[in-house]
Amino acid sequence: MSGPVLEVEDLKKHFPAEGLFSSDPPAKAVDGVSFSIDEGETLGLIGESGSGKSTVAKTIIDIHETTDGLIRFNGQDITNPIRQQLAEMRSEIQLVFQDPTSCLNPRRTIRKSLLVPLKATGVPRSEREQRVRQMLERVGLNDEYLYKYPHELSGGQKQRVNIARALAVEPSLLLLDEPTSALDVSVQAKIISLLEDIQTEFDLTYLFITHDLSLVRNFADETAVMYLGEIQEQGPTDRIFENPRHPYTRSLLSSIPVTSQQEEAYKPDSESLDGEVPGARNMPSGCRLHPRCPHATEDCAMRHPEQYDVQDRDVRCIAYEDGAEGFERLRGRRPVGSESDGS
Amino acid sequence: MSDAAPLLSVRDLSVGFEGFDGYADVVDGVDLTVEHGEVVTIAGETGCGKSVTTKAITGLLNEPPARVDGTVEFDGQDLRELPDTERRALNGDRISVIFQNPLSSLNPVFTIGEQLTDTAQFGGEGDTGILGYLRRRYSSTDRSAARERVLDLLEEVRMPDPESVMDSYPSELSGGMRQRAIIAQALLNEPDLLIADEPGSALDVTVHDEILSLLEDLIAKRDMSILMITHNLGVARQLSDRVYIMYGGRIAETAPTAEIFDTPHHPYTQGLIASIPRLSGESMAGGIGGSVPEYTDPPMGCRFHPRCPYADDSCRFSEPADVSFGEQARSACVRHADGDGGPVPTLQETKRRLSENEPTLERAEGDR
Amino acid sequence: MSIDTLSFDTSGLDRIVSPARRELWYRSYRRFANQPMSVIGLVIVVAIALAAVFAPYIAPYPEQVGSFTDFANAYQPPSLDHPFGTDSAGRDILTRVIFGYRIALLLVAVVLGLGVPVGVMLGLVAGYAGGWVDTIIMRITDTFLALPPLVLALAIASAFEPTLEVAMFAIASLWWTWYARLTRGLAASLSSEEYVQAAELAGASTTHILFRELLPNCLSPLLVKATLDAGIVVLTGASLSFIGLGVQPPRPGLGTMVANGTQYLPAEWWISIFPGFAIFLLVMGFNMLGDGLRDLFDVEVEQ
Repeated sequence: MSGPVLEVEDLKKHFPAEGLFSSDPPAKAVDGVSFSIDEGETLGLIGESGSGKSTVAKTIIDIHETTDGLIRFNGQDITNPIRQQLAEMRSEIQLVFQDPTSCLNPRRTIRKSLLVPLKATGVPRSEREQRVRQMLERVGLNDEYLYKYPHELSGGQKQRVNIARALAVEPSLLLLDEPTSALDVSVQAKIISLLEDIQTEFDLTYLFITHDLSLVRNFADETAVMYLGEIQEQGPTDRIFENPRHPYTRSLLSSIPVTSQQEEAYKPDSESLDGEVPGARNMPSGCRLHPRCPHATEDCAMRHPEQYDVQDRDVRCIAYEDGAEGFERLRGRRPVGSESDGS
Repeated sequence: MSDAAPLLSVRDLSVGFEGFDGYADVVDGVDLTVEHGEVVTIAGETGCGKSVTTKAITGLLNEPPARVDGTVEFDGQDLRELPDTERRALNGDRISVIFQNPLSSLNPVFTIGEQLTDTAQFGGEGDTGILGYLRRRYSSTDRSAARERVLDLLEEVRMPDPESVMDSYPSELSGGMRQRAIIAQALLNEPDLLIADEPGSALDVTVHDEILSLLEDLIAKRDMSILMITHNLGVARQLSDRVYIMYGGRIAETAPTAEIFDTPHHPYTQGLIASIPRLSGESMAGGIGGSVPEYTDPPMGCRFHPRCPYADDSCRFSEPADVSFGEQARSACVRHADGDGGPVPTLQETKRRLSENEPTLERAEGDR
Repeated sequence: MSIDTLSFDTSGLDRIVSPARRELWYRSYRRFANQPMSVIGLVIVVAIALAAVFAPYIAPYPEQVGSFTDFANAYQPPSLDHPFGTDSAGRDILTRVIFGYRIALLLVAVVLGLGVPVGVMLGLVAGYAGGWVDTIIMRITDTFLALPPLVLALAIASAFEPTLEVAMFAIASLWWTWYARLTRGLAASLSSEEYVQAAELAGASTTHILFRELLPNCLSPLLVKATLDAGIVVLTGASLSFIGLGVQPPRPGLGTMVANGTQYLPAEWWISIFPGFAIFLLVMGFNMLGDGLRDLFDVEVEQ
C-alpha cells in the first residue's frame, strides 16, 4: 500500500480583480493549503463562507486553474493536468455538489443523466445500462426511477442520483462539497449512512467539505478547519473536538446550538469573535483572525503565523509557537506544572 | 402557566390550495397557542406546512387561491373576522414579522435610514390617503423624531457604527448587519408578538450565534412573545419555552422544550432527534426512510405511518388523537395508547428500529 | 472617495438627497461616462435640445422660419451663406431645421409628459391591487393598444383639423398604454417581494407602498423605455407630418419639410435630405442614450 491517495501541498488559488484597469488586489481564496488523505479515509474540511473550502475542491478537480502549489493523486502530479490526464482523472476523481437540483438536467431522464459520465469515460456500451442499474440500486433507488425526470424526485432522492452518477465510473476519490446542506436532517442522516456504507464497500477516499461541525465529528477521520484561505487547525477529528486548540476552532464550537446536555460539555465557554468575516480582498495583516480574535495581541497583527506542530496536530496560531502551553498563557491561566513566568 | 387568555390562539387551522392535481390541504387542523412573554417554536422539516401556517396567521395568504378555515385569535380578537384595513392596522401595531432572508426583506433602492424611518412613521393613523402620507413624510419634526427612534433601536440591536449604517444601502452591509437591521425594523412598533421565520439561517455560524444571543437579550428586556419557525432543532432548543413539531400539515407533538429533547414521545420527533449528528460523536441513527408526503395525495390516517417503524394497519384507518402527557405536552400517535399491549415509543427503541432497518429500496409510488 | 471629501457645507443638501445616494449617482455617472456610445447619444440629444431652446438666438435667419418668401433666393444649394441651402420659398433650411427641432422636442415633451405619468399611475394601481381593478384597467389598456396610432390620428384629423395640436393629442392619447402595461407587470411581480410584504405587515399605507416601495424599483426600466420612446415619438410625428396630418406648412415641421422636398429630388436634394437627416440624428441620439442607460442599469442589477 503506497502513499496517500490525495496530497495537496501549499495550494494557492488567487482570483485577479475584475476590470481592465482595476488596481484592487487579487482575492486570495486559497492561500497555502496542505493536507493529505490516505486510502479509505475521510478528511473533513470545515469552513464558513469565504473560507475557500469549495475553491479547494474545484481547484483539485481542475474547474479552477491552480495559481501555485502541488496536487498529487496516487503519487502522480495532477496540478495542471493536460488533456490526457483530465480524462483519466475523471474516472478516478468525482465531485458531488451541494445543490442536488442544479446538477441534473431538467430535460433529461435520470437514466440519461446517469449514462453521460459512462459515455464520457469510455465505458463500453454493453456495460453501461447494467452499471447504471447497479449504481441506482446501490444508492437505494429502484428501476422505476430510471425514466423519471428530476422534478419528480425529492431533494434526497436527487442527491442519491448525483452520488450514483459519481459512483458509476468507479472512482477512488470523492470530493463532496456540502452534499447534505440543502437537505433536511432526517434525509441527511440517510445520505451520510449511505456514504459510509459505500465507502467501506468500494474502498473510497473522501474529501468532505461542510460548515457543519457536528457532521464532521461523526463522519471524518481527520479534520481541517479553514479560515480566509488558510488551514488554521488540522488533525485527528476526535482529538480536535475533545480539545480544540485554535481560537477560531474554539469559537466555532462554542457557537453551535446543540440538542442535548451531554453535547454542551463539548462546547468551550463562549469565546465569540468580533465582527464578521472580511472579504477576500481585505485580508488583515499578520494573523488573519486577529481583528476578531478575543485573544489577539499586538504581535498577532504583525506576524503571520506558520502552522505549528503541537503534539497531535497542526495549529496556525502564534500562541502555539512554543508548544501547547502558549495558549493557556494567553488565556491568562498558568499551564499545569510549569513555572510561572508572568505575562 | 397563568390562567390569563393566551396572546395568540390558533384553533383548528386548515389551509388548502387548488392545484394542478386537485385540492390539497397543506395545513390540517393545527392548534397552537402563544402565551404572553413566551417563546414558542414551530419546528419541522421541508413540506411540513410551517411556513403556510405562519402566513395564515399574519394574513399574507391570498384567499382566492388558498382556502383558510379555523380561528386565529390575537388577544381575544379573531383576526380572520376583521376587515382588511383593521387587520393591517392591528398587524402593524402589535405584531411584527422577520423574514428568513434579510437581503430580500429590505428595499434595495433606499438606505437603511430612509427605510427604517419610513417604517417608524407608519402605524397609528393607518391609511390616511395621499395628503396624510405627504404630510407625515415631509414634516420635518415628525421625520426627525422618527429618525431618533431608529437610531436608538439600532443601538439596542448592537449595530456597529449606527450613524454610518443609516446612510448605507442594504447591499453595502454584511449579512449580520442586515439581520440586525430587520430586527430593529421589527421592533419599531413595539410589538407584543414577534414572528421570526428562520432567523439568521442565512448567516455563518458565528454570526448566527450572536444574533441568537441578541434575541435572547431582547426577549429578556422587552415584554414580548416570540413565535419562531425553524428547521434547526438546536436553535429551537436554545431559545424556546415550548416547541411544536409539525409533520405533514399537522402538529405531531408539542411539549416544553426540555421535555421534547429529553423524552420525546412521538416516533417522528424521536426519529428526528436521533438523526441529528452529535458533537459528542455518538453515532447517528440512519435517518428516517421514505419521503415527506405529497400534499395532493397524503397518506390515509396518520400522515407519518408509511415511514414509521411502529406502524401497523390501525395507523392507516384513523387519524391518531392527541394523547396528553402533561399540561402542555401532547402527542398524536396511536401507539401511546398501548400499555402492556405493545411497545411504547421510546427514543432508544426508535433509534434501534431505525438503525436496524435495511436501507429500503425506495419505491416510486410506494411509500404512501 | 466620495463627493463629501469636498469641503463645503452640504448639510442642507444632505436633507434632500443623502450622501449615500449622491455617491451612488456619482458611481453611475462614472460608469455611464465609460461607455462611448452612450456619451455620444447624450451629447447629441443635449446639443439638439439646447439648439431648440435657443433657436431664435442661434439660427442664422430666424425671420425666415414661417411665412417668409424670397423667390430670388429659392432653390439655392448649400453654401457658406446657407449651409443647408434654401427651399422652394427661399427660406434658409438650416434655420428651419433648428426650429423644426423645437417642434419635435415639444412633441416629445407633451406626449411623454402626459402619457408616462398617466400610464405609470394606472399600471402601479393595477399591478398592486390585482383582482378586478387590475382586470378593468388592463382591458381598457388593451382596447387602446389595439388602435394603431396613425390610423387613430387619421380619424381624428378628419373629424377635426389636421394640425400639430390634434396630432399631439392623438399620439398622447395612445402612448400611455405601453407604460401602463410595463408598469403593471413590474408592480405585480414586485408586490410579492418580501420587503413589500414586510411594509404591508408593518402597517404601511397604500400610498407609501405604491410610491416608496414599488415605483422606485420600477424607475430604471421606465427610464430606458421613455428614452427609446422619445425617438419613436419623433418618428411618429414626422410620419404624420409627412402624410400631411401633422405640422402644416408654413410651420417648420421636419416631416413636412421632407414631404415638401420630395418633389424636387434628386436635383434639389438638400430640401428633403437635410430635414431627413435631422430626424435621423435626433432619433439615433435618443436610441444611443436609451441603450446606454439600459446597459448601465443591467450592470447595476447584476451587482
